[in-house]
Amino acid sequence: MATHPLPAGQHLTVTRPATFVDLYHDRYDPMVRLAHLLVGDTAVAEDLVQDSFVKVHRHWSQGIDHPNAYLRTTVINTCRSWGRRHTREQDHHRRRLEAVPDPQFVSDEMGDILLALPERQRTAIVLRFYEDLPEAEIAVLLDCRPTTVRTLIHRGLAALRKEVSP
Amino acid sequence: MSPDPTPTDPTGTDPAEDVRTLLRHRADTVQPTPDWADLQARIAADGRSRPSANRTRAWLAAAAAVVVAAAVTGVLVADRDGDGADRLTTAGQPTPGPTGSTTPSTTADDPSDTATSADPPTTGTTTAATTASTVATSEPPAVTGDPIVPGSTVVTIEGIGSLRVPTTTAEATRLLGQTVAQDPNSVIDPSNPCSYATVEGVPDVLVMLDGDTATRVDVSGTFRTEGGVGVGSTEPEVQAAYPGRVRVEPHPYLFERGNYLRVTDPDHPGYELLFETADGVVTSYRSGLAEYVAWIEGCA
Repeated sequence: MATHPLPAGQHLTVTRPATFVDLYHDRYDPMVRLAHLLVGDTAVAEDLVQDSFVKVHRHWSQGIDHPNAYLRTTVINTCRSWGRRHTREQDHHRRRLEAVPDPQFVSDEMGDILLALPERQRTAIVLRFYEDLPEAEIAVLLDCRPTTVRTLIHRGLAALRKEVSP
Repeated sequence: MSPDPTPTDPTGTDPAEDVRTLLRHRADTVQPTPDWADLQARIAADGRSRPSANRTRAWLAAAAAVVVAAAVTGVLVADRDGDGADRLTTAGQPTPGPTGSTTPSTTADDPSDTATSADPPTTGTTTAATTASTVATSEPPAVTGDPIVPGSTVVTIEGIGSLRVPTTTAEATRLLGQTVAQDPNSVIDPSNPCSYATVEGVPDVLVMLDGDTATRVDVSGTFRTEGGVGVGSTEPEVQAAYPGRVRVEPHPYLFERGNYLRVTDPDHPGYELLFETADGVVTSYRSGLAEYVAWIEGCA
């Protein structure tokens, strides 16, 4: 995951929770919301986030330099793994949403439209426009080059606009 | 790959503001419900199911040396018998079958195989019996039948009831009359020797294995120690049960909410009894070889 390091001086996180309990209390809700955007289901998102905390806990006693970023990366990877296992279901969503309904329902359908995107496009879109991460950081998380991130976002936006346009 | 244009407008406006708004709206509809207890349970289960890195342990080396020595002695005596039988007599124990076939006659292919179980042990120690189990024979173990019974069997610093670590699963099965067998689900990395075994009919006891050797016992049910404490006991009760022998450490998961109460016994060097507490009450405990008892995440 560290094959494309961030530019000098750029850090994944700036604050460090004092304890694992603090991390859980501070980051559980944001991580569930992030996971929800990635997997489209709250119950699944909460389950995956719990699993992510377990994974983080395995390494907690060894010291984690940037727990928030480590947790977010873990959540993203866990969601992506889950998504790959459910490609068939996503294909079902994609077929079902070929025609987008009335614009007044666009926001309600946003999750489904997101799920219709290819997994890497969806992740890039969510990290860029929900997490407000810079492209360089997304490149680290997706283990690709920043130009690839730009491509993913560009194509993802185009696909979203095509779907949401009345 | 040709670089595509960035979605950020050079004029400073955000052409993706609509997408940001939709994403935030979507995320805001989610009402997460943190469940710390569920997370703790998952962490505990994770600790039980994940193997650790391979470790070399001095006591295993010593045990192996004893095993080899006893095996050699046993073979020599068997040879002196000169009867060509494939069983050992020096260890003085009926020869257990291979691990996984250690249940009593009800599961044996040939019930007549149990005939040797009537041969009483004459000499030897647990280690010697262990030796016998490592030397292949086709005969099933004799059943001593001192089973683990919730409510009556006590947990000691060496194990539980007649199951005293270190011992093999075959020997434990023979002593208890209950099948002690590795839980396949506890093996993730076959190259790692750490796993857990279950005791037939006793779900509240897990036996940590190093290879096939039981090294510690994890207890979570109604069992009590020989000091009369167990799950539900308070920290002062544990202190009173083992006066002057309890070392208190912060719980690595619960921090200020819990403790590790570590009990040692000068009469049993190398062994430890460890109580985990939450809010002053014992939630689980384990005993056995100190090195293994110290592992905070089971095999992890």
